[in-house]
Amino acid sequence: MSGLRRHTIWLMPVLSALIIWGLWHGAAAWIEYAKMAQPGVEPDEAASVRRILLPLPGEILSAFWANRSLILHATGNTFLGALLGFLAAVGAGGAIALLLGLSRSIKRALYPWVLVLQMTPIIIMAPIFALWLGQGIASIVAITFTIGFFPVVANTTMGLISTDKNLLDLFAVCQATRRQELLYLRIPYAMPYFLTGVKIAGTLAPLGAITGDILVGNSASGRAGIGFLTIIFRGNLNVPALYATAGVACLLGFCFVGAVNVFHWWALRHWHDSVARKDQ
Amino acid sequence: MTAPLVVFQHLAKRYGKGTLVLDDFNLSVEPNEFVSFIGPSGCGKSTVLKLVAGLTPATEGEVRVGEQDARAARDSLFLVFQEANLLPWLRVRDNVGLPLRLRGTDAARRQARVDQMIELVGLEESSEQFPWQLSAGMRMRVAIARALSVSPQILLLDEPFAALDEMTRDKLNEELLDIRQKDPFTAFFVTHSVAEAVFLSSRVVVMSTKPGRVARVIDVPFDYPRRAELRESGAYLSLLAETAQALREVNRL
Repeated sequence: MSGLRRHTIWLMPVLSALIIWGLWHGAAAWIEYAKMAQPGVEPDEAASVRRILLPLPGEILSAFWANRSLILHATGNTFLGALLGFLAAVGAGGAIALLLGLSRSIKRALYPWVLVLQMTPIIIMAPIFALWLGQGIASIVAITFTIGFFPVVANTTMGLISTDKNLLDLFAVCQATRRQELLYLRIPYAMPYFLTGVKIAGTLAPLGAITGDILVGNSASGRAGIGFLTIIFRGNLNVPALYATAGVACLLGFCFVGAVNVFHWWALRHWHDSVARKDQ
Repeated sequence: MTAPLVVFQHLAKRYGKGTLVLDDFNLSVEPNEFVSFIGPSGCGKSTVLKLVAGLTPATEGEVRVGEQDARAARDSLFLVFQEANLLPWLRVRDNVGLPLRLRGTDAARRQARVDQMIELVGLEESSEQFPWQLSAGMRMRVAIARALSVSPQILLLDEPFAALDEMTRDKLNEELLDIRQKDPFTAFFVTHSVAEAVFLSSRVVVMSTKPGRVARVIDVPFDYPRRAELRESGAYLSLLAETAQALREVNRL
């Protein structure tokens, strides 16, 4: 039974991939057939239309290979924007949360502004960032930062203010100073909350960088990212390359989230219920 | 007669604008006494400990430890909570050494004391483990080792064994008395168990409720060290019956 279950882990995704591959080819053949059934449509013309509506997996791979340098370079640029924005969101988000968690007065003063930043649609913020920072990486980082900042602040603040009352009593009995209470209790206690915020920010970072690239990107001197590339490929009707770019963007997202998940596991591996007991 | 170590004088406590939890609570405790507090739920047993520990201020009256107000005497006491209350991200030895670390004890002295305490509670083999890897009884031993690491003059124990099964609880009761033989302290012990109170204490304070007051103080005449066999003696069983009767009378009031 356990052997069968072990094989099922690999078999099911492979099986589902084969089914999708078959359905994909079936749908493409049906589109081509339906087009050819129209009077006066040549087979080549039908194939071209089908390639725009639904390119085959093989065509997408060929398009990727043909544009690999362009796509990988753009992916690198997007990765850089996502990484810088993510790090800024995590650093500043954590620091602001510390301030908010330290005192109710500071929270009352600052939290509304954090909400203002979160509630203003990014599509409206983007041109403002472009005016302040110019088209390109700085504005992209600012957009990624804005998207990732709130989950880090909200989660970490929640962790800092929800410290177990009994543990606070323990520190009071130990006559801990406020600094000790923060360092040895509140911050470690808030760590799982913070890391949940980091995970959300990590999921949003590639999305933020691609959106930023579309809204305020700069294609000069090879600085185009994935977002800009999609605009170019769409303009050229190079749909297989567009799909290839989507695939690479998806892969980038997986890598980013995977790295953040590894960090989450590493930070909590010894003690937190979410990871520790599964390892034993 | 020895001078009392802890004196409760006309102590009253009200949380916020709620009802009076304690009123006119008076008691004197001598050094090295083991005093258990027993009474119906909500009679203010845990509040008594919180007042001694300085975790909450008295509404009226005062608690004096030696010549000082209890809040000024925090160096000389420690509280063991109902839950072990260990920091889940610290290993056993770091949990035991936490109070010393917070009090600024240097690393060498701290480690020596931690080793001593871990040996005292018999957790040498688990010293590098995390709390989740321990049983409930072991976690409570860590909490006791942590409390004793600062050599408190007074140890406050708030139903520390309430969540444990009866066998583990009996075993830990005996271990607690053994530890106290080696490392003496004055104990204030809150419990719901009459058997536990009689087995451990030199005096059992039966409390009435709404508001909490000292209803009766029962002296326990058995010498320390006490062994498990005491639980089967006639004198112990008779005292158990007397204490249970006192508790029933208080509940009827």
